[in-house]
Amino acid sequence: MKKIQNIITALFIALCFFGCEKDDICAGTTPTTPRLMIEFREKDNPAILKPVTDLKAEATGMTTAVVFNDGLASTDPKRYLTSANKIGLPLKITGGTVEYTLTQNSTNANPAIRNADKITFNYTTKEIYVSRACGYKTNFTLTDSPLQEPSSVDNSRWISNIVVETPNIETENEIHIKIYF
Amino acid sequence: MKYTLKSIFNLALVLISLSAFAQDKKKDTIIPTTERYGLRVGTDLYKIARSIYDSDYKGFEITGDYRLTQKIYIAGEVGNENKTTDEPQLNFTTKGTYFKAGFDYNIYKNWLDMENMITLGMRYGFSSFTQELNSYSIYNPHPYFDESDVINVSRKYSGLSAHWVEFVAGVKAQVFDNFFMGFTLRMNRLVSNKKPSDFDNLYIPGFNRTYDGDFGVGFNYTVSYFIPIYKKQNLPKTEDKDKGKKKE
Repeated sequence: MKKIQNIITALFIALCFFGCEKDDICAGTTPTTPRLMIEFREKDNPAILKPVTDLKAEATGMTTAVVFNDGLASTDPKRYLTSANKIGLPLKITGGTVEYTLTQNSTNANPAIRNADKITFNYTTKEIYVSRACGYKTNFTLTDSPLQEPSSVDNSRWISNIVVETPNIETENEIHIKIYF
Repeated sequence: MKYTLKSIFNLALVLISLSAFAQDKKKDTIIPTTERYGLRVGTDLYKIARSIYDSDYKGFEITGDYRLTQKIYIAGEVGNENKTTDEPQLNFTTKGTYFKAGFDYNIYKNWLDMENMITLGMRYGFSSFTQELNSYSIYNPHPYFDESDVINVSRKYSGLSAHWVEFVAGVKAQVFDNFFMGFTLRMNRLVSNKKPSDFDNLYIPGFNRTYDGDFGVGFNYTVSYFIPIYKKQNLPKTEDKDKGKKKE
């Protein structure tokens, strides 16, 4: 009888263990929909990474800018600013075109120093299955070089040159675009 | 909550089985007994019950075993399932049929003419099925644009199949003449799995939910009827060799 009880107890515990399993949660480390990763470099010395002072990025048609500091309150202007030499811009997962306005020295009161440039990204999308917990992700492929607003419209552009490093946007671990200024 | 109920039901069934076994103790003789051999057919009550209370599930399973020797039974299951699985990121419907064949080995030594069983066994399973993706979400860790990430589709993947091996542990107790109740617990391991090109077999009929890797688990609660075919005399253990067995 003892043997039977042990076996049944083991079965019961095993069943409970499997029955009580929690649903998976999509782990943050799983590569899912990537952002467009941009690196800023010095135009006269392309080997050197150059941070942009108080950079703000806002897509045309949006009322808020891209969040760069998650930890700050939504009323804090610093939430939308970065002074890094590398940023990630979200792309529309359904659309094929996004226009971003990148503003340098965006907090500066002097309009001569504050400078906004518009860049248009054209791309195609592809949906890829990831896992039960994560569902699908979208990968992007840039179809052409990002278009700067012509200098005839914006005669004080701060961005001098944009180079596509990798047109296939599949991971955030690589740089897709280099901006020289 | 569903799992808690499931567990309580398990416990109740275990206790019922135990009480059935406990009655054996009173009889104690070494008189040779005759044992019945035959075919047992049954059905999985859990699948029937679930088909009633879960609107996203329709399924049934026919079970069968045939007593080959004193301890070894040829066993198998045939079933059909139609299940819609709703995950936070995915909603899909799996439909298909499965077959399982293998053996059970009875490790329980009955007193006199009792026919209870505690079995260990194996099955080879095969399933042929379709997956229909009803809707899915694009996982976007950095949402910025006001766009819906849920995409409704009706994408059907046909001609899918899977093969697997099951390790089965179970109990069966005779509740009254020729009627048995029992449950089995199964650990499954996929041998082959034909997946859709841009989706996965997250549920396989007969195999159940797939986990990362090739493992799965399953169980059933069966009620079955034993059809006696012939009897064989079972001599005391020391002489219990093939030559000692006699057909009656």
